[in-house]
Amino acid sequence: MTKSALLLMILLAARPARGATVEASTLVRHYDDGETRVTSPSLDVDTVFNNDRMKFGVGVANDILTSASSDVRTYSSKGQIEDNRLEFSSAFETAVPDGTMGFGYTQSDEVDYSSRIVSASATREFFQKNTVIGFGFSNGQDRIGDASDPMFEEPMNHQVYSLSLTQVLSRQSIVQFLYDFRVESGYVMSPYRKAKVKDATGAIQPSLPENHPRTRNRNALAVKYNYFSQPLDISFATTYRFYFDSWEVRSHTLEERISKEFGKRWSLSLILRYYMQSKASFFQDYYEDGNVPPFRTGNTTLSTYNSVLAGLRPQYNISSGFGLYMKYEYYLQTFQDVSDAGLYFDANDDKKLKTNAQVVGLGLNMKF
Amino acid sequence: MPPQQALFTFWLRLVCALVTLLTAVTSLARTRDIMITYGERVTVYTGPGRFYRPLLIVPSGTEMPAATSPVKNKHGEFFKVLVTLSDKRKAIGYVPVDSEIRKKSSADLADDMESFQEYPLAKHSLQATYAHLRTERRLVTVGYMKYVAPGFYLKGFAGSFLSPGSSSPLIGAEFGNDALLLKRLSGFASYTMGVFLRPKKDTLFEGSKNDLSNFLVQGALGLRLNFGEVASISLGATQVALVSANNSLVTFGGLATLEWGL
Repeated sequence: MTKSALLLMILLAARPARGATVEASTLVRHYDDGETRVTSPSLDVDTVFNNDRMKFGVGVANDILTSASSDVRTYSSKGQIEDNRLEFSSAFETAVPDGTMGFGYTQSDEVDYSSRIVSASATREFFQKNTVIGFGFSNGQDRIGDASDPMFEEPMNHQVYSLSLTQVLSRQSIVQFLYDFRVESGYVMSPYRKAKVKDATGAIQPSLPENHPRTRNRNALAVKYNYFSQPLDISFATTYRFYFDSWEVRSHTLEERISKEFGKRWSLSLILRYYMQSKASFFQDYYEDGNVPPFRTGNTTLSTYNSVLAGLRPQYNISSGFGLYMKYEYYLQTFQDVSDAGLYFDANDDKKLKTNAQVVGLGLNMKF
Repeated sequence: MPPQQALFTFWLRLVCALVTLLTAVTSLARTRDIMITYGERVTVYTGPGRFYRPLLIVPSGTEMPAATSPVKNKHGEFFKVLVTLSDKRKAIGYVPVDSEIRKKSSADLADDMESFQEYPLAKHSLQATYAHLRTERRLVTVGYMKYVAPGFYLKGFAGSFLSPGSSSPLIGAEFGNDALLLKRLSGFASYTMGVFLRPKKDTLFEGSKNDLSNFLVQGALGLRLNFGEVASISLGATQVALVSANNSLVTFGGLATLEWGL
């Protein structure tokens, strides 16, 4: 879909037809961990029409990245990289008897990576809408390139299958069970990352391009419980997620989101999240020269690590149709078995890899 | 023509014209019974029989115009009612007389029930499916499907997955949403899971095993054309993921189905 066509759709969606409502949301988000900085402006416009039976939305997001991370400093000739990613998305949803059906399209492009994803979803209500079954699937075609080699291009195809069950327990509480199954097939690695190699004496050897299995089957099971406490006038959203895949990565996520309104204008949300993960079966910090297995990686996110995130999101409603919100998050990631190599051939400057980052955001919601 | 005969013919024609006009005027506002449900969940079927597909399930207190005389057939007695599916869409349905429904009143209604068509659809059917997938793969199945709620069905099937030079039998289950869009045309989305019955090694894809760890997940969406309770055909798009132990293959293509009402 061309950019101009999608921008036209944004403008059309923003012009409400008679009886339609339009909601627009814009956010500028900035991530900084001291080595990598990403600024991400985004705009989403949704219009609800046909007596609230149909919904159409379009969105655009941009990631502007500058990075001098551990891997970049170790392997990049410049010691720093810059990148720019642009994403367009559109979605349509219609009410059908006792449920909904929806379709979506997302495309994302940067110098060395492009992605095209189509998706479909449906929900079905039972027992006076107290029970809702949802299912969906998506199909993605990615193309991975190498900025230093114009002839390099590899495909990676992925599909996602989702199931959900939502049950109203009482006037104050809802529970939801979710299952996502994601299948990746093709070039499931990066042309830039390198696997670190040492010999038996500990001397650093030339690094090798990473080589991952050509398929990855990923499963995520989650339970969400939402509860509103009337005496405290506070809502609690608790989520537990268990993830496992065919590369033997296992992870647990526990998240709590607490929200409270202060009068008609102010509201505040507090987010706390803890994540722990065990490494992929073929992950090693350094591989032993002469004994390097067929699958090897330089991807630190396949290692053993845990992370903590804490965030605040205050919102101020300027009027019934305008709301301003801010976002502040602190993120700490601690790796158990990954070292920051520094200068690659100097083993003395290796240290345990650790990341701490701050994310700030400023957004505006509009409804008209 | 003698004058008396001409006069008689004139008055006869005038009376006939007046009777026709009177009938036309009264047919603009037909007297209908207004039925009201008193049960929590009353099922309205697409045809005069419980074996027809459910059209709608209405809660207690729902009012529906009905024909003054119930429809009687070998399957029982049914009220022919006019139900509202959405703000702009109405349809003819049938409610068994022994349901939790009673007559509330009679009224002259602007909607003439005779102007609405009915589309009796089978609740149970046999479905044959053919999926034409990329990389020379095909999926052929035959299954039994049943609409357990309006627009929502379950299906069990058996079939064969065809790869170049080989075939692998499988069994599975499917559920889906089917929503009437226009008269006989409906849109559907479905979700399928299947297990392969010990396929030969490397037949699903290179590296696939010959044990019971092979399964298939499929999503599909498309349009279905219904020919009453007799049959329906559909065309759509589908995506399939084949999984064997820790390996997998994803593909997609076109889908066609043929259903025969039971």
